[in-house]
Amino acid sequence: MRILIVDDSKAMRMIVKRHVGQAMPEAELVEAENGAQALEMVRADTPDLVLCDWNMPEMTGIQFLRALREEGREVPFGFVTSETQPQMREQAIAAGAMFCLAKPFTAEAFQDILASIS
Amino acid sequence: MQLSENDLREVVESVWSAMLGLELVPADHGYARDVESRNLTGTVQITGEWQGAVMVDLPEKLARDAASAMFGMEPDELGEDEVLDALGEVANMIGGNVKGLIEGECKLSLPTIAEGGDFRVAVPGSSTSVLLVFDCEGKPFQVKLLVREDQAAA
Repeated sequence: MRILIVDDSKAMRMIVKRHVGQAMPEAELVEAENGAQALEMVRADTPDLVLCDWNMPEMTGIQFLRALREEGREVPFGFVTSETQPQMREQAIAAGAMFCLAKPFTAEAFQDILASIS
Repeated sequence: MQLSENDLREVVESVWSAMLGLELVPADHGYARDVESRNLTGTVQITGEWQGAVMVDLPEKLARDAASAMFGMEPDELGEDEVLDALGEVANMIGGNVKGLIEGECKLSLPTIAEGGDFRVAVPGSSTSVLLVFDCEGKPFQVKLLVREDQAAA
């Protein structure tokens, strides 16, 4: 399984990588710093799952998700974000996200999300 | 809409425990920078139907501890960029969760970091709504919620 982790914070990418590595030690993890970079990476080689932040420079997470769907790319997509307002979650689901995991999250919450989609 | 001290305290405690794995306790003293040392302030602004900002003031040593926890590296192995990145993400998480407690359409800015010995960060037109001081492993830090003055009474 190949997982693309998208976050402008290197610290948060490290945390997400650590959690994914514990839950799925066999997964191949690749990283992008923003939606624009991630979009190019998906176009070049589609991953099996995208875990994406919301607020990023260049292209936000929701813009990235909408761009993917407009291009007909149905890669499974989940947000890992500090955006916790219900309307943001509704926007995310309407755009095609499978889930929104709120930061801060516990290790258990992260494992549960990954278990539910694997 | 007013956020209470308890609202902000719960957000800060959850960020510290879940993301950093560090213990903090409410301090029974104010926060005074050691101006002989390096200090950092991470800020995110919230704009829209509710306008304000979240500021995290802390000594560089504590920012380094937080970055160490996030990166899974020893504090002295971390570069400057990693310390600033980690504080930005801490401010972002606190700001995002504060925004989640607010009704109405709002946007969260990307974080900014100020650094130095003795300095002040201001958001003109805003005043402090909630101020909390904590101790984390013997190092004090403070978290401020600022609210635009023209809606502070709303």
